[in-house]
Amino acid sequence: MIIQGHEIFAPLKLKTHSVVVGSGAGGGVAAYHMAAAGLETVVLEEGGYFQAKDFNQREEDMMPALYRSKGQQTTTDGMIYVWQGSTFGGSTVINTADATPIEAEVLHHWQQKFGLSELTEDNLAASYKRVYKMLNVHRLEDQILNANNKLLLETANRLGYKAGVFESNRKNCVGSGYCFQGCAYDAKQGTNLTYLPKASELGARIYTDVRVDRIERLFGGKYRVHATVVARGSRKARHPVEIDCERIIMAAGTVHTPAILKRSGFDKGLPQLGKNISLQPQIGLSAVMPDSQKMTSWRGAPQSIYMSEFDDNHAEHGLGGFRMEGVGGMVGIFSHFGNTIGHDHKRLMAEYPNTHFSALLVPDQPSGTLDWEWGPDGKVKPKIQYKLTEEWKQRFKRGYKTAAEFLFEAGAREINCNSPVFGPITSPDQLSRIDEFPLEPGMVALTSAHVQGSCRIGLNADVGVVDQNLQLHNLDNIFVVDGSVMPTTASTHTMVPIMVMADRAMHKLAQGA
Amino acid sequence: MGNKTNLPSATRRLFLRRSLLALGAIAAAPAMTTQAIAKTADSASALSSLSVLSQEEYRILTVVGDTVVPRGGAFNLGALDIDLATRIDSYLDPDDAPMLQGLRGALMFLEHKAPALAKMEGTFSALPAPQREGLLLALRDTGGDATAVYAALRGLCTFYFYTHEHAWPGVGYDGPLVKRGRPVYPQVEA
Ligand SMILES: Cc1cc2nc3c(=O)[nH]c(=O)nc-3n(C[C@H](O)[C@H](O)[C@H](O)COP(=O)(O)OP(=O)(O)OC[C@H]3O[C@@H](n4cnc5c(N)ncnc54)[C@H](O)[C@@H]3O)c2cc1C
Ligand code: SF4
Repeated sequence: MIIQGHEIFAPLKLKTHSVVVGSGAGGGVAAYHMAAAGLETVVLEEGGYFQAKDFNQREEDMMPALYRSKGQQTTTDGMIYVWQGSTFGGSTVINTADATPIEAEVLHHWQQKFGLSELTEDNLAASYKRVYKMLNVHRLEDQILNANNKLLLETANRLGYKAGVFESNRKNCVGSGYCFQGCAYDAKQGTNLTYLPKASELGARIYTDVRVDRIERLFGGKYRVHATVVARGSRKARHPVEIDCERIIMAAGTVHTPAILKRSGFDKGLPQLGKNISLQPQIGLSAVMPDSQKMTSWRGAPQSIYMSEFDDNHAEHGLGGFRMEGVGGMVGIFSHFGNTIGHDHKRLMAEYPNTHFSALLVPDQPSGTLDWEWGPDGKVKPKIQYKLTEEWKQRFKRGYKTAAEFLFEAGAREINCNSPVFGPITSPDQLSRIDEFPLEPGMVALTSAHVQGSCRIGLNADVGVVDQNLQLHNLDNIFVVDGSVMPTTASTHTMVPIMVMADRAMHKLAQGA
Repeated sequence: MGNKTNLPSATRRLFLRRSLLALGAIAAAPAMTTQAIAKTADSASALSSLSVLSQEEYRILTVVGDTVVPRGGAFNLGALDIDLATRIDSYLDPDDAPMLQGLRGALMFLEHKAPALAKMEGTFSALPAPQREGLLLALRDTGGDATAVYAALRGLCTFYFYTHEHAWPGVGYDGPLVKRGRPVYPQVEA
């Protein structure tokens, strides 16, 4: 059963076995396993319940409806946009449905550096099988690949570089191009269309527009969840909710899960809570191609092809290097690219159909920290403190130069990025300008779609927040199953890694193992 | 924001130098007259019902929009044709105090402080169009708060201009495949 906030007109008191906080990648999987095990399960989701019929394929409407802080959540210095979904289905509703596993080198890194001996490919194999089946993961069909993405593959082939087509969790995708705005065709297989409806069929009660504020410990090892029904849109507090339960599964995402734990006073004895954040920052690049070379970046699967020649994944550091991936479907955000205004900017925008858009992804090492403030109504204001390391900056510049060379090889006439100050590069002999690229607040807008860490797995409370079964080190029966548990960035895309880790832990728990 | 002493002195000197260069370079270019802009803004505001911006903020934002996306050039449509400031107003969240404070600060800084920093008489909105563009570009190249003002106002204007359906033919975008209004938010007491 799905109960929306506007259907609740009075304070609510409930009792249940398990409460799942958040309904995204991790929460969806947890809800399904708890309900499938026959346990009375309540899911609490702060965001609203939106369906295919509500998605109008327009950024200015869908970002406020589906994204955390309307898509305006940033690091405290404003330099990196930290995109997260906040709706029934969480970020799986707004992602581009690229399905990538945890890289083998990352698992080796976790084993070597953190001693996580249980997280092996063999031990995760059954979870991959279950998750891939539920999500219908398969290689993207050729007919929905667009010229914008194919440019990467064709150029890579010419240069002898590694590149490939993503696997994806779609079903009957028509290639509309609007994944970032929610799928109006129910093709993208997010938790909103898979795990959550299945959990609901199995008896789970899913409340949307209900924000969890804190958890209270009760006698006898039980818990009380304190939550608030909020108005959709404004998120103003409406009614209090209290739920007594035996088990809590946190899946509010990397930024909000540790906030709830902190507010509940559970940070005592967990020195790593809110630390070790990875953002995997990326920058958007645009390349104006010859008039005859139509890219039509807004149609077809928006992010379907990668160029991975410069990936540098090793057991010593996990993910490294840099890579390029095609992106599309956002005329508003792409209008920020370039540093001009007036007629110069209009000329650039008039090239939209023959402009190629891609993202340069540069994996990072965990180096961010979270801090929070709470308003009088209990609403949390997260502060994401994050500083780019020198090593990352140098790798970014190498990546930018390589990407620009690659795009000139592909036929680009002019290359811009999401910086209001850095002017266009119009020929390969200008690449040395990238050495002076202004990686400073206000000078560039980087994006993170893969915030991880903050409740990382570790062998004990000194080094981690949860154990390898994703249970809090300092309390029984509280689990964390979202992106926050990743010790370092798990893969180039994080949905499947989160689901697989959640599946392993929740399947074990449901089986009583 | 809104106070020139917020700009570090080295930055301020750089700002002045670049501003003057930029303004000097465009001084001879033809300009849309101040009166013409004021007229457009007035008539638009008479029709509009603002929910967040004051009339003064609306007027300045209208001129900023006209500077960032002027009429003519690569395609005809400009910010004035879609009453961009009203469109932006309709998307502003009246409860988002920090964002509104930032926007108001940016508009007031641009209108009242930025021209003086470049040794210009009067207000931003009273400058001829090429000088307004030159002033915004000078802010871009200054660094610090000035660049932030440029980036914020530019981003706001281009985002809400190019997501407007009237802008799409000009940039060759055929628009969404489903024709739907904004999603409906259930009306409940808060
Ligand atoms: C734009 C975008 C594109 C992406 N593209 C891809 C891709 O193509 N492939 C891929 O693998 N990954 C992609 N990702 C990343 C992936 O979707 C996320 O990493 C993943 O969904 C995160 O899962 P999660 O469980 O940690 O949190 P989320 O899926 O973000 O879910 C957390 C949920 O918890 C809710 N919540 C937060 N606080 C509270 C509270 N106090 N009370 C109740 N509920 C709360 C939120 O509203 C949200 O719905 C993308 C992400 C974004 C933002
Ligand atoms: S491309 Fe369109 S149809 Fe396909 S999953 Fe994305 S939004 Fe849905």
